[in-house]
Amino acid sequence: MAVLQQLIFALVLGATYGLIAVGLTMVYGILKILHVAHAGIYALGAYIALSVLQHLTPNFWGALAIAMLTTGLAGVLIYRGVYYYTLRRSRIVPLIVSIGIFTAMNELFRLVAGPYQHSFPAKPGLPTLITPYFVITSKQLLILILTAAFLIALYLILNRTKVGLAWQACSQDLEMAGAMGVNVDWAVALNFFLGSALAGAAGVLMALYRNMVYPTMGHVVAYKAFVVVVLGGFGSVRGCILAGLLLGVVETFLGSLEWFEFPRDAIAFLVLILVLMFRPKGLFGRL
Amino acid sequence: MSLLVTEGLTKDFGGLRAVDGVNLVVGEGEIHGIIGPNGAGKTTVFNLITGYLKPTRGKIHFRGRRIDGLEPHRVVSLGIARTFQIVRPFTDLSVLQNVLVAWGHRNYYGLGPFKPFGPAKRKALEILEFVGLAERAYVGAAALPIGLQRRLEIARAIALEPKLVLLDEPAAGLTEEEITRLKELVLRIVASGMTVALVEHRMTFVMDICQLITVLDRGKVIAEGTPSQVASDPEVIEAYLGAGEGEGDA
Amino acid sequence: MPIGYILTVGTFTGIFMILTVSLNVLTGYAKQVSLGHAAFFAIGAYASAILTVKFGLSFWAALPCVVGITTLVGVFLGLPSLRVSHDFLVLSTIGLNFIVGSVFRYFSFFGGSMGIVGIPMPEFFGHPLGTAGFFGLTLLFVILTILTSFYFSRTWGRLAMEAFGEDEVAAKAMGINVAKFKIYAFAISSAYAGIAGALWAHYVGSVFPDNFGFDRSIDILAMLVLGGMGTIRGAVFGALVLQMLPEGLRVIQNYRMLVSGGILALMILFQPMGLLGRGSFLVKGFERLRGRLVSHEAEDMP
Repeated sequence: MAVLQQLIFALVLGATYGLIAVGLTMVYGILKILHVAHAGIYALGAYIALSVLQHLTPNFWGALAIAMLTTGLAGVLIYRGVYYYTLRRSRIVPLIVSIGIFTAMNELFRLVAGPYQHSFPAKPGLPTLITPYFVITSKQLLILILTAAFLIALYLILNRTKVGLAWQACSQDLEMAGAMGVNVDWAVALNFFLGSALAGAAGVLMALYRNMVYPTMGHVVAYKAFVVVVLGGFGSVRGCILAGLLLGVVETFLGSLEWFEFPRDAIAFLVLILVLMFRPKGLFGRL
Repeated sequence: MSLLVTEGLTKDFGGLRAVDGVNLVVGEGEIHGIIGPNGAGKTTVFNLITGYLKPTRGKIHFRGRRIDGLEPHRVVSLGIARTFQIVRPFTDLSVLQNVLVAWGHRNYYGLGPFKPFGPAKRKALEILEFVGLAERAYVGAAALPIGLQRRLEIARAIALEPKLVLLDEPAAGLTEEEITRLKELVLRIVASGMTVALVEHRMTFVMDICQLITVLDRGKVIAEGTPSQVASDPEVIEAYLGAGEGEGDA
Repeated sequence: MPIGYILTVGTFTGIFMILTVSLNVLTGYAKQVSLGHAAFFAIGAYASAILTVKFGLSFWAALPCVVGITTLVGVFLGLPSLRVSHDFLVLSTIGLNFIVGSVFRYFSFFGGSMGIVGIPMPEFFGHPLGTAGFFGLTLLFVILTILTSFYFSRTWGRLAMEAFGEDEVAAKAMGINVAKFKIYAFAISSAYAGIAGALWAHYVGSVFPDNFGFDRSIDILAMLVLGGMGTIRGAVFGALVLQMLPEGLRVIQNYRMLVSGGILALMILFQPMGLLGRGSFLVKGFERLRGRLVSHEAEDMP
């Protein structure tokens, strides 16, 4: 059935949106920074995996692991090397810094790897599921399974570990958390590591799915991930994942309608404006 | 004549009732103190009156007009000015500019925003003179010590030409000498035709200058009257002793 | 160097000066970071292109319509701010680049990816302007932009924007309707940007969706941050430097976005006032040279 097949597309798209936006929403929840460079991290993940595949090993899992590790560290570097020094300054400062880093990252990708699209030479090694109603390609299957695994792991970290508790304390009140004995610096750094690693993973998965890597691949993502964060209610991880899936569904179904004469990337924007007008706290936000 | 009247003013935050059925009457020309232990809901009452919070229940009348639920800038335009417990000067602007921003309140409508502010500088300087900040007019607001930043907040409030000035902990963090000067300033504000309501921790300050005092505890009014009446009220004494004489900030 | 080349560089520099001065109202005064300024620019360019090519209006007749259209778009974009706080606004400006780009690319009315060509040169008493004439026209608009925004910098509106740009809570207590002034800032800023877009379209003679991407928005922001947010002299100077520098140093053109990104990050970290902003090191040095302790430049507020 066409609807089921569409739903598969929607889920795959929504899963990657959620995966990227989770990191953003965690950073916003704690530091109240709009971390635009996060989309650069996403593209970095794809580029790292690509060069690992080209030069080191043809093993997809190895490439994914190295990409996640690198992007995680890059996220920590951005926090500890830059944002850390802007926290006490006017909120316009971290925002502009972030935009600058994002822009410079895109340009570095172009200068190092060239302005053209690269194909992404990896085989996920999973079967293609063919049922009478829908088909799930091996790549789609991989994205769905991996995203689910990441999100379950994240859920466990958030709710079952000391780090998760520390993050919650930090997002309530950074100074109070520090006063209560939370090592704020470590907690935030770990937050950046995890969020960035997930964005990097999303970059790798998207590169695999679309079979391309290019310098400005983070551009549209930069703003869509923010749309997801807003819809999810700024700072809420669960809301963010739901919103990611929802955006995937809306884009896929609206985009497939014959009479809907509107570019696909514009849909997210329409949704954003509508939600902001009627539900300023986001669809899944508290309050 | 009563200037400000609240009826059954109530505010819930989630499950917590911060303000519970407060009836407050502030008469014209008086200095009205609102006191109470930490967490009694004093600042919340101010935030409700000035439109920063919307009441869960209850009404607020100002000069016979309902003002609950209005946006903060509308409340200002009707004649209520406020200061903040933690001072919020515009630190990127000079002291004079800070006062100008407030003096401009009548120009933020219609074509007003497109008129130059230059001619108003003289008036802003007069206001700075009134609070004793004229010498610092061209200094950046961030460079002022805390005591003077409080004065600047009061100057901005006066520049709004209000009927009623709400001062949120005006004496917090001030030295004894600064408090004496603050008292004198508050008296001059009232003498020039404004009414003052203030939230304060420092009992001596409130007892010295307020004609009427309302005591809040856990969101409710537990006593009201002249300083001497309130000071001898057993319930007030118990509330304060029970909460441990609070001298710190709420 | 041929004179035509110099005039062309001058014209483009002038157009970017208008854009940067317009962004200064939004980002310098109201502290609303716009990542969509190229979109306002694009809307101005397309509006003028369509009005002249498809509807046969003259440049002069189209110009007021262009300003009206871009102002309206600015207001529309500011509308969500009636309901929501500052952070959301930045997001909508990020989106604007992509939306405007994809709408222009997608709908045949806007010429699709073929763009709109054959945009006429403005006429002056029946004669189409040449390169020199157009440079003069641009110069005229640059001067008009500087004069009007200089006037605006001394109005209550600017004061209100500076106030809520720094502290929305305190600004409300000063009687400022923050949402309304945000919309004013967007409207004023996009109106100027529309003029810049119209000039650009008529000088180049064609518009394509790819002319106005995210990168351009970043460029304009970098010009403002380099020159100094919050001052008109800074905006003009920033546009001058970043527009002229690649002409002198061809190497830079290859690394343009790296330069813009680097300027944004490094300037705001180490010289947040820019080169010529209030209290920047250059301005302070200059004041010391003149032997004045506290100087109040004409453009600075009292």
